[in-house]
Amino acid sequence: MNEPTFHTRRKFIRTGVLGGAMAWTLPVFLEKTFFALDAAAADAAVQTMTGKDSPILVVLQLAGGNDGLNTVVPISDDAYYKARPRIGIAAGNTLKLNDNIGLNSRLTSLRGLYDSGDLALIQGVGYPNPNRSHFRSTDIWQTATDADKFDRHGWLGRYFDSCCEGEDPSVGVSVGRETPLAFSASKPKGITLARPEQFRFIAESASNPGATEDLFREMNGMDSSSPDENSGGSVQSLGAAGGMVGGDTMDYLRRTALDAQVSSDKILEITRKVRSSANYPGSQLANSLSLVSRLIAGGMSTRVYYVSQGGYDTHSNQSNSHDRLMGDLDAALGAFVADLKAQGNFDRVMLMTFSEFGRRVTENNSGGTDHGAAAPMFVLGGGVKPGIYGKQPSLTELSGGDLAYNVDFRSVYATVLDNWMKAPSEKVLRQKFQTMAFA
Amino acid sequence: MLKRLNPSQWTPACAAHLLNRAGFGGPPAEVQALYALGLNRAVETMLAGSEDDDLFPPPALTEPKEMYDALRAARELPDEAAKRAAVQKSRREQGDQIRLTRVWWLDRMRYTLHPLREKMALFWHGHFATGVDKVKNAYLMWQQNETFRARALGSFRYLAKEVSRDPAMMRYLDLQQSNRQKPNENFARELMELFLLGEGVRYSEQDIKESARAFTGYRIDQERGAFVFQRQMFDPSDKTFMGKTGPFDGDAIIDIILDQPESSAFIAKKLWVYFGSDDPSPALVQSLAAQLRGSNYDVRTTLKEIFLSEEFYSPRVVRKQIKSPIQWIVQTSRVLEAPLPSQQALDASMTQLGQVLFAPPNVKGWEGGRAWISSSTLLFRYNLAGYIVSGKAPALDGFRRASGSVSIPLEKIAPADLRGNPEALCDTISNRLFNARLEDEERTRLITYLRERGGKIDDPSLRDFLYLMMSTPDYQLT
Repeated sequence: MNEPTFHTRRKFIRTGVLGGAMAWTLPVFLEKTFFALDAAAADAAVQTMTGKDSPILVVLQLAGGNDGLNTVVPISDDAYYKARPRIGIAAGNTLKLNDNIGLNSRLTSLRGLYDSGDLALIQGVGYPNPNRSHFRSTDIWQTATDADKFDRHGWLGRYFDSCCEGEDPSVGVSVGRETPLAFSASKPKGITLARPEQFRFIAESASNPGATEDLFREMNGMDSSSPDENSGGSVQSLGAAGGMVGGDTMDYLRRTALDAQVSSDKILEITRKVRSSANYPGSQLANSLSLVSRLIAGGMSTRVYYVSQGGYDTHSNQSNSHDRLMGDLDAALGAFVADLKAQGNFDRVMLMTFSEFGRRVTENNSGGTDHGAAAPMFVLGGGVKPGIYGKQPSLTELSGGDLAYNVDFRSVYATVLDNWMKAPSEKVLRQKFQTMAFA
Repeated sequence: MLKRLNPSQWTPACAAHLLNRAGFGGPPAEVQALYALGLNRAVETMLAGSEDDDLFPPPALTEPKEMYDALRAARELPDEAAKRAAVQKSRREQGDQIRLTRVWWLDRMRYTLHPLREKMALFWHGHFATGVDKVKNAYLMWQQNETFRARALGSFRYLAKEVSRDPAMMRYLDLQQSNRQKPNENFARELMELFLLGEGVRYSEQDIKESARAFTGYRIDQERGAFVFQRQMFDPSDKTFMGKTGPFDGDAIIDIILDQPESSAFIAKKLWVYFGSDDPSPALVQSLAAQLRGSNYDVRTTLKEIFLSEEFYSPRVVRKQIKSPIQWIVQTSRVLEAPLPSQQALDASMTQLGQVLFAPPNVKGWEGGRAWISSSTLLFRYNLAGYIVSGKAPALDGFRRASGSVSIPLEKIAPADLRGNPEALCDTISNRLFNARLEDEERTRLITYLRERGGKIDDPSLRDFLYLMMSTPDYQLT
């Protein structure tokens, strides 16, 4: 495993890839972070510097509404086979966990993790008054609000707000191009990147690279007049004449520019040094998880990573497509786990899957399934207390025509927050939810 | 009626704003020409546009009949490997053709004589979002695009019905698989949630199930790539939908939905957000919605109302919108009076910036607004600006030396007589890029930068200067 060779992050950032001595002044909040880190370093030198001490959460979104019943198959239930004459999976074609349920046959790595005691399966997860719109239901999962309430901030954003004061922006890393609503916070944190090697400003100056670079940094808020994060983000110095007056949108752009600058130096440095120690398949999810594992190995102080796999909206001819999705998911997770184990980081990472809803019990005429409600979640990692939690919902006693939930997804979040992230779940979720025993 | 802008308040900045929002911006001369018309004629000119079909011959795409015959021939091949090879070949061709169609459309946006029509076609593409990933047919995507163009400023009621019979949409939302025995709910749900009403407004899960039965019997004639109605697949029995009962068909369902006042408000708000600002007041939305209803969903009338309104030219709106990636690309090319980047560079840019034409992320279309900007896409915008003005291929995905370079008319952007005058040069260029004078602090910085280049600004320094101005938060706004 490769350890970064820097001693403090101050030095690290100052000697970033953009060349030698950086002439710009550090924003105030960064200075504060470094002082805090320097102080902490006196106690636990390398630990703090490399971010090796804190638990990490990886959230994996299965976008489109994963068909829970063909993921965790109720093999002893006739109602399942009656409702799905074409797409039902025979008991013999599943990886049996017990007499009643079997995993989709492509989930071999997950089966291995179940056997080795690193996997928790939570059955029947959902929420009251389920919404069957992809977008609304995704929002509900991301904001962790009641189905009839709306919130501009995400549950992870509220975690950043309440527990990550003074951390730098990369406390949350979303792999992809869009920042998930879950990260949305009153003091925005979290960066979004698709490919680390492109996550930088390329100073292709034709005349004078140094001066161009300096001015670029000034124009993007990397100088002393840049917003002090603790002031709440209003950019006083820009309220001058000329039609260029900012407002919230301008604040947002400036902050994003600043976050990108600060983080890109660091991320590029790490991804140049650290290589994966496992063979990942070629899928997009595998690429994302490979990047996450390199960032973890490189000692990023990131607490939450967010990745996603799309394609789960299987309205038609789903047998092949759903199996392929399961296969891609499993292969990517298998490589990720092997990688983390090789790094010695498996015990400090917890990965949780979720999807906005499960699908309807009865197949439709197109050999697919329409939008449903409750579905299973997987939680895996070295720190997981393994087993099967929650109950398999009845396929005959339905709620609004769909599977009824028996575990509120916010109980899963609360468990992760309280028991794994050591964060006060009631403050983050703004309600008290029963915690579970998987963490 | 919204309060109108007093024609005496019409300024060059207003004209630039109209050109940016109702179109894709333009160089100073174009802004000046629009300004010279005065408010009313400027708005009429934008609404009317000119026919430019002859400037843009259709892209060379495989027609449905040809594709149908080829696939049938492939299916009859004796040998499995040959069959697979034929299918793969067709798939590759389709991939090439949709890339061609993307550039064809971008080119049209860049050079059209009727920018508002293209801007509305882009609006409808995002509204009735349809993705080639599932449709898998470039011709059908282009055909839908032509519908959006032809109906761009016409009746929304008519367009909605036409879209329900559009083969690309039918494929995308599985409508052509739905029949009376087991109706597929996909289209019916999105029709209300995303196309006509908004999530959870006025309809229930039961309304979705009932209306799904009305949209049965919709089929595609694969040989013609056209809609056909198959009566024996249609469910003619009564449906109870939004409190009304009858043997409704799809068009009747659309009419019932559009009779809901929420429907006009939904579309009115979306139009304002697209052309104006993110958070219109409820009063403004209601006023536009009344206009829309009163004109039986005539889009042109509503757009005219927007473009003549005082609010549209207010500081709450002007230069407050984050450019979409497509807007960024086309507007950049127009204000710099430069050609579009090469197809290869455009392909890579659309992907990296998060807006690939004919491939919206899902049926909700692009989220827009702040969602365009993440740390990753913002850095890419900066790097793309660098590529365009430096003419050098950066080390970015999809960019190779073969991407070629974009030729920028530097003499036009910075004439020789300005090269020795940093203040004038800075103001001229910021007027071109931002349609505004820079805020003092930034202006001073940039002028200092120019001064330090010494006497006369040469081309390399000018390129750096453009690069810097475009690698700013300011340049992301329009």
